[in-house]
Amino acid sequence: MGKGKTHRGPLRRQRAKPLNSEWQHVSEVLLAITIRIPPPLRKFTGGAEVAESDATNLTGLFESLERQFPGIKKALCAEDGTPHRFVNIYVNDEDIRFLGGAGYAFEDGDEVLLIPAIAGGV
Amino acid sequence: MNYHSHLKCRECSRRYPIEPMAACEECWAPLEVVYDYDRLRAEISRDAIAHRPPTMWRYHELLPLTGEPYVGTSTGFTPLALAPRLARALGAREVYLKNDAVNFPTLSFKDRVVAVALSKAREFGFDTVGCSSTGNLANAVAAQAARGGFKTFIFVPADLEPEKIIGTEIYGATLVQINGNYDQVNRLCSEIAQKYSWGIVNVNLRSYYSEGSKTFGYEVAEQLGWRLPQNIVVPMAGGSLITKINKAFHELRQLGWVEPHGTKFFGAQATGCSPITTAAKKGIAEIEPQKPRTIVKSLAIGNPADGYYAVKTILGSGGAGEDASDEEVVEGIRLLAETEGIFAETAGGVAVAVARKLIEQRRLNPDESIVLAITGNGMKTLGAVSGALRDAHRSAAIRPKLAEFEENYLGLASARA
Repeated sequence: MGKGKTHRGPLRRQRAKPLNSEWQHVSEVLLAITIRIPPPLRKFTGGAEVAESDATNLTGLFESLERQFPGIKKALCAEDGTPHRFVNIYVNDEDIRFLGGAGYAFEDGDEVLLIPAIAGGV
Repeated sequence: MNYHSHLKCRECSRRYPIEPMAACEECWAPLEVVYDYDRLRAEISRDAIAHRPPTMWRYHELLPLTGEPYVGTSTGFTPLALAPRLARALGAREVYLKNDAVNFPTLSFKDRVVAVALSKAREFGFDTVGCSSTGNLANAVAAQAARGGFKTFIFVPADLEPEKIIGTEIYGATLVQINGNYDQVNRLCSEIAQKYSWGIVNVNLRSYYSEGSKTFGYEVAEQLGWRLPQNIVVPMAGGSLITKINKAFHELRQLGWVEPHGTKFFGAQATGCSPITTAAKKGIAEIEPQKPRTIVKSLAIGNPADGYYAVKTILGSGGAGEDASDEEVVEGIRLLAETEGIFAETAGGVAVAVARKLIEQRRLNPDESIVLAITGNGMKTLGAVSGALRDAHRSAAIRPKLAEFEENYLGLASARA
């Protein structure tokens, strides 16, 4: 139950590591992450099922989606970026809460899935 | 004669028509079926119900079907039995077992929810149905879908008990086994539900499916002589059953069919997957997800969708959450079987083990009435207890000789010498 980034999807590509001073501005390198948009949110995306973002963390992701699709942020999180209780966020098949939640730093090639909580069991 | 009118978001109260929907489009919270209780109170009486056949459909006005049930017509009205020998073992005075281990047709409380969900699927015109499941739901959907002539896709974790795998495939359902835990299975199932126009009982039929759980609560009250128990211990996975028993008791009070006394709700989980009881012990409703590690696979949901409401039910009632280790669960299954002749699956062992702990801790009052929810049948989880029974065997097999029987089992060797 650690917070290690151990569950990697098949498409994950390693982010280039800074090797020397030339790489000190690595944070400015644009990441590409993919977000799969569920049906309840497609009214914001003009029907698009997939979006892309260069966000580096969850708060940035919500901002980035809002810039692309005005109105969508309110459906996902509070003003301060706290995800709504019934919104589940997965990164490469893993619940983002196991990866550190808001503290998780997206990596190039990450695939993000947004889905409602689902009933079951017993 | 319909008394349900619409769906309502539990959080933002937004209204939706009676349609297949997974969650509120605004805040993604679960949707509740809303009934016209004033009209129900005026038109339906306890006496009318008493004269109906002994199935869950005797409460059909409180269920969200427009027409007659299509499947599961014999489901429900399982025994509520006084359990004096178990009560003595637990140090309690008045213990009842609500025994869905003998529910029809697949020996778990899930037959109730599936009877509603698939009948509703028929009303919505679905020809294909499915679910993600920890086992019991898979069995119930497979059996009742066969009966109803649906095409069926069922998604389960690949490490389920073999009894639950066989008890699904036998009905001709397409069983999709997934290398992952239930929460991962669920996620895939949700994506499938978004893409295909199928009736997934715990996704887009969830609002109707979960209403079936209320009948467990109605039956407990009616079988107690239209009286609510002072305490009820309920195993929790996604947290829906305990929430819906609470809704059932609330409705019965609202209809004036029971005295307005409160019932304390005690939620039970396995220690190896206890996100809801962990939150309840902290006294907060926010759930931290867990990675399940327990033999209690039917409760192994690390990210419980209704966990938030389950904790609120528990804390709001003055009850408590508690969990039991795998060893305690096995002891609980054996204690129930040896004292009352009821063989429950692992979730039943959780209910018994947690009741024992709570009584020892005096958080569950042994002088009050206590109902234990037995939700499934032990024949489905034989592997959980086979090891413990093997260890308990006194000796190896004997030859068919009277002397060997007496020597090995009656300790009479010297008497015959």
